[in-house]
Amino acid sequence: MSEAASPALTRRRFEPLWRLAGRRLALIPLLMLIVSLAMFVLLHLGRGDPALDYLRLSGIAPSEQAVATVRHQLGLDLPLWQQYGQWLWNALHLDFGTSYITGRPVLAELFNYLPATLWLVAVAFCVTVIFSVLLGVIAGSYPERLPDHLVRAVAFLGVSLPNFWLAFLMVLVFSIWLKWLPPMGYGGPSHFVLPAIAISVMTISINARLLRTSLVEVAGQRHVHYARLRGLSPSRRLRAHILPHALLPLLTASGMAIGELIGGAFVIENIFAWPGVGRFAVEAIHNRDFPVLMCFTLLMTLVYVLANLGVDLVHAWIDPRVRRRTQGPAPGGEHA
Amino acid sequence: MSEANVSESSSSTSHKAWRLSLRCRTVTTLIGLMLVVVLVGVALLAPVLSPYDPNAVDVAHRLSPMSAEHWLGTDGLGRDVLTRLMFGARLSLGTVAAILALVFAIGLLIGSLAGLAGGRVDQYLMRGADLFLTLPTFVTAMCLIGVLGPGMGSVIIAVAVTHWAWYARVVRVLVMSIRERDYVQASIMCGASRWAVFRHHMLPSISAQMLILLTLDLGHMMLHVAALSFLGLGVSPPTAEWGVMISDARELIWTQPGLIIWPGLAIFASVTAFNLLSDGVRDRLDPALKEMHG
Repeated sequence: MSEAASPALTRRRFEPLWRLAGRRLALIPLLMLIVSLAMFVLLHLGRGDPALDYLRLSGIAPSEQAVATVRHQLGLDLPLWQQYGQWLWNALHLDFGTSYITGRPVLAELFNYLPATLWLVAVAFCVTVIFSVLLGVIAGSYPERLPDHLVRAVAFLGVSLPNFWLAFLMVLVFSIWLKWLPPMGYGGPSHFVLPAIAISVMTISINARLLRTSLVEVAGQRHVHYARLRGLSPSRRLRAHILPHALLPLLTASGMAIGELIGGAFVIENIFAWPGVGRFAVEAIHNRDFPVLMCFTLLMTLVYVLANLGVDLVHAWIDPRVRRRTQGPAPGGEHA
Repeated sequence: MSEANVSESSSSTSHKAWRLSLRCRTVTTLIGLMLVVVLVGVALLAPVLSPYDPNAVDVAHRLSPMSAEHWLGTDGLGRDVLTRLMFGARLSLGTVAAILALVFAIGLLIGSLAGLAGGRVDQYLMRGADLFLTLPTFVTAMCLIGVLGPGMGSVIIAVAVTHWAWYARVVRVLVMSIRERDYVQASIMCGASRWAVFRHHMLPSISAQMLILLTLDLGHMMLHVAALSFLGLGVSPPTAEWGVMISDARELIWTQPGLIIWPGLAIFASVTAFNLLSDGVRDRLDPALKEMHG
């Protein structure tokens, strides 16, 4: 809590963390319902006939009778709202149907692939946080000087690099020429190095730039000038007076970064033969595997929403101002 | 940004540094512009510049090294790599242009609707835009392609749908600020209909500003398109596309790394060009953008 808070500013003006979490968690089922309904309607209005897809994937000749049988079997002869009702009922019992391709339950299949993707994203996220803070602080500490220009140049290249091409270049250099790291596969720590770097270069570049801007901005504020007048050393000023404020935008941005990292993981998994959700999903898109697509979308929604909730909770925990109920002047001299 | 303002707020050395960095920026923006012009030129003139057909299979000359006939060699099916790169530029630029047109249309429609209607319509539309702003662009695009089925059309729609929101917000702010101008108020008082006011007083300046702002996202969009094509969700195989070329050559990375390096370099160079351009635009517009948001 801020010391600048007046006695009138009691704790009750801040929403407790558990209530914030509960409020956000309560919204998740509603969101999932909307997403699933939208997906369902769009998938069924879209081009293609699921019955034909099913027959093609199971290798049965699409005779008229076979189509009719499958249509009945998949419940496609019912009106759309009834189909959705059935799907929803099954989904509430965690039964998302069976994949047209593999013939196995979709949920089990996806959970089989999910850990590899989540591990990769988690490692890439840690790499992103460490390097963006490091580079951002270096650039922000020497604005418009050599380190700043270097970091900005690197960050500029970073946002222009296609991550899948970078992955191939790194495989070429570190696996094929230098033979330092395995070119593909999923296993020990050495397998994580190349994919994690390939995914996180973009987010590192974006966040390092962001932190640099934010550092320069905070360094120009009055409380920092005051700290200098009091004779605090530059490192102390950075640690105690600049970084805590400057890191806040980065915290918000890391929620976006998680989404970018998941997207990057889906692409990179293909290069490193990573047994993740991405490759499975791409396969499903190619084959129009309806049950898998439905379940995949919902699962990704859930992962993304939960990850963002985590970020927001950390934000609210560190900076109570974001859960203030009534609007008032921000504690601490924030206005430059 | 006026010079007096700057020299007032900073010492003379940092002023010099600032002038220098501004000059650097102008130079890099020009480089970006030149690269874009070259790219567009190559894309337009591809059939004239190259004697080869990008899809002509010539198995006798497969995987030939760089030579006077084939400047960058040939791929696994004996197709000339440079020719395929040049035709790939056509496809990439065409796709990005289509995405731009779509984003322009959606952003203009929703933004001006929200700005003109105000009230509850405005609230709902902007809440929708906020939702799209927080969605992870690539994953959402993938899910949308899952719904629409793979193909370049789906890629265009998916990338446009994940990128319109920011432009809609900008258009809304522009509409609201233009509506308060005296000349607009005057024409309303003269009895001009809402549509007439929008068409004559708002559309021209909003369109011009939007076209400039659209350069900001070009590089980002291009990366999306390349990655989606790399996953095989865009064009079907025989067509020359940079992402697909890399994906086709992946098995050959041990023996023919060039087949992966060249198309990637093409993507990298064009994205860099667009990003240089957009950085220049951002620098020019920054004061204006800030004014608009607060």
